[in-house]
Amino acid sequence: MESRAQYFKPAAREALHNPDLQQALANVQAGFVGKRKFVVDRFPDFEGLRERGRRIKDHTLANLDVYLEQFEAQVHAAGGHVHWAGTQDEAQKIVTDICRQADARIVTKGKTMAGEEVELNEALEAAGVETVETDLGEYIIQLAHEPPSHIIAPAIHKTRQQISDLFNEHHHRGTLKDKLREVPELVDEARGILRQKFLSADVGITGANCLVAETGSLFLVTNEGNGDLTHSLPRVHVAIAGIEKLVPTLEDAATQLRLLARSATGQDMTAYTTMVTGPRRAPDTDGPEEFHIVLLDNGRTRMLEGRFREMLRCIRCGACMNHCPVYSAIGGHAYGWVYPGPMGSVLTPLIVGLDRTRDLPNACTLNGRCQSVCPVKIPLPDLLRDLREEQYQHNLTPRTTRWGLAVWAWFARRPRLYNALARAGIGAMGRIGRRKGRFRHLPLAGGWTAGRDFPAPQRTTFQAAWRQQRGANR
Amino acid sequence: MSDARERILGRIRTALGREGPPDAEATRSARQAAVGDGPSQRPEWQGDDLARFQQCLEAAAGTWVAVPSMAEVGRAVADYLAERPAGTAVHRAPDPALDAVDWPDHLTVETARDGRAALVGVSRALAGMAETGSLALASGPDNPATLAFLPDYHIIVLRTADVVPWFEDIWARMRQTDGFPPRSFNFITGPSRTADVEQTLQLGAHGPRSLHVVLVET
Repeated sequence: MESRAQYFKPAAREALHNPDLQQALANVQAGFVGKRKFVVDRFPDFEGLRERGRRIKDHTLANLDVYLEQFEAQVHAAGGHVHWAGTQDEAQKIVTDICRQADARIVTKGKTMAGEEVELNEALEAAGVETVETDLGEYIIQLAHEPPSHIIAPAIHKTRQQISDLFNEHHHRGTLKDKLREVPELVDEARGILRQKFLSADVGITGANCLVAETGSLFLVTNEGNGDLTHSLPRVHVAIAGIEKLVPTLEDAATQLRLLARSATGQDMTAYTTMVTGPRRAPDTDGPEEFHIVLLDNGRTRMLEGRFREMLRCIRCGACMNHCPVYSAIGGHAYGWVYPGPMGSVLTPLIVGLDRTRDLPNACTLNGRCQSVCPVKIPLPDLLRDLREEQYQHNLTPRTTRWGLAVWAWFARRPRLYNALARAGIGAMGRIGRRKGRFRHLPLAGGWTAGRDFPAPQRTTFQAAWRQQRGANR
Repeated sequence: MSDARERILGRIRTALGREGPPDAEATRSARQAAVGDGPSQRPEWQGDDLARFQQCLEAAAGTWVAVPSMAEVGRAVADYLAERPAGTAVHRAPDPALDAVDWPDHLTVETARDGRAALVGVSRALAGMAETGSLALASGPDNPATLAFLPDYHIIVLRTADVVPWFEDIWARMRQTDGFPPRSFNFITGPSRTADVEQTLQLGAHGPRSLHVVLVET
């Protein structure tokens, strides 16, 4: 999808005042956060597991060429095809060409974030192929013509009422009298409709949770079983994955799987964890005749070069957004592209460009919860700070901020003057604000006081208090 | 798109500062140095592996019953189906291990090439994994992959001797097996489920609505 990250601020404001969205977002905290904590706490050494996960990914990234070539050779040995896509356009062309050659009328899709990234659905629809999302959440947002708002629960922003309305409109032409329907009924209705699509699809497209160099396999992790019906029933299976999804061995895949399910949904293991290797073998009686894997770059090799390589460790679990106070308040759509939350605020500027995503690295309180739950220990707050620095270096920081910083820096380099002014200013503010203990309005700080009060200072500067403290301790 | 291949690999090599062709042997020992010799951190439990397997399977909403021999599997399947609106038509996997099953006369048993016509499917798992209560099934002519996903009622036959503790044991075992990896190697942990509507858990999303394991004591 086209990035709308430049509209972050108005979109965030709108999200804060959307009662349906706020109702839906309450479920994130209640569900994901508590469930993750439960399974992580009972795991004997989750810290050690995270460290191992980090090391595996760092080692793989430092030898990515070796492992990609090994993976490619193993896919060929299993009878599959490997395609390399540098850009969105190349990825779209590869997949639409495969569908054309297969004379595809209907394509079923398992959830793929790489596919969202390169707008596969739009390209396939333009090529005249009916494209059906089969993950229930993805199916719901496809009906609503919306992008996902969470990387593992794409329709988390939708209420049951909204889903009932969507199904009424699309499955019953608006004829249903019962407006609000129960969850089992909704799930069953979607199951019936999508079952027909699974059985008649010509091509199935999935993503991959990880790729294994040792065997040329991909792992698919789902709870619904839609991924397996997508790759097992049609004549052709196409998978698309970022080049950073590799791990060297099956043991390394196991480490990643142990981290992924626990961090993502708070499960020890999802209902279906599947290892796919090539097309059907000669004696097989089901499974696709062709297997294709599209290895996607789309900005990843650029990240490999510099300080943002660490972001390529990401295994797309969504724990960072589940634990983010900003995401919890505004949901995923305000971030404007396919990846929301902390990982999105790092990835989107690096893939889409710094200039069109100015607000994202700044939409962060640097509280560090994301880093503390990240299964591969990505220092997300540091990376966001680095992006802010890059913005400053590229002159992308707003002029008022730059001037403010310049003025502050001028004083900060003159400590006596700085101290004198700080003392005077804080003393005055302390006296004026003593009675209420806070300011509702402050000159030059309207941006701050519009959303919250400014606490009155305690009449003395931090430095003075520090000196006093040190004196007392001696 | 072979030029895309060269372009991407070229960019990677530049980013990694490679000067000569990479050495696969050196990469292997670098992995060893980075990750260490020991196994991954993993769940631990008191007591035997079979009990752990059963407990985790139950936690994932799967059910199980133990029978003394392969012949008895038929009776166990019939009992299970009798309590459910599942009819009496059974689609069994062609796996030769299931040839020893003694099917009660009132069941119509068909050997399935895939799962398209099956309401009740019976497959055989190569292994059970105690750490998570998962069943490992290998696709192939003996166990068609779709038989595990299209039926409403999926019944899996597992020998208790095939229960192993961890992922690492599964890999060690499978690497010795001819034809590994198969096209699809499935870890199944309970029936199909979704929480996509308001985070409310609902079983039977796209795959089986229930999962039943018949443990054959060996």
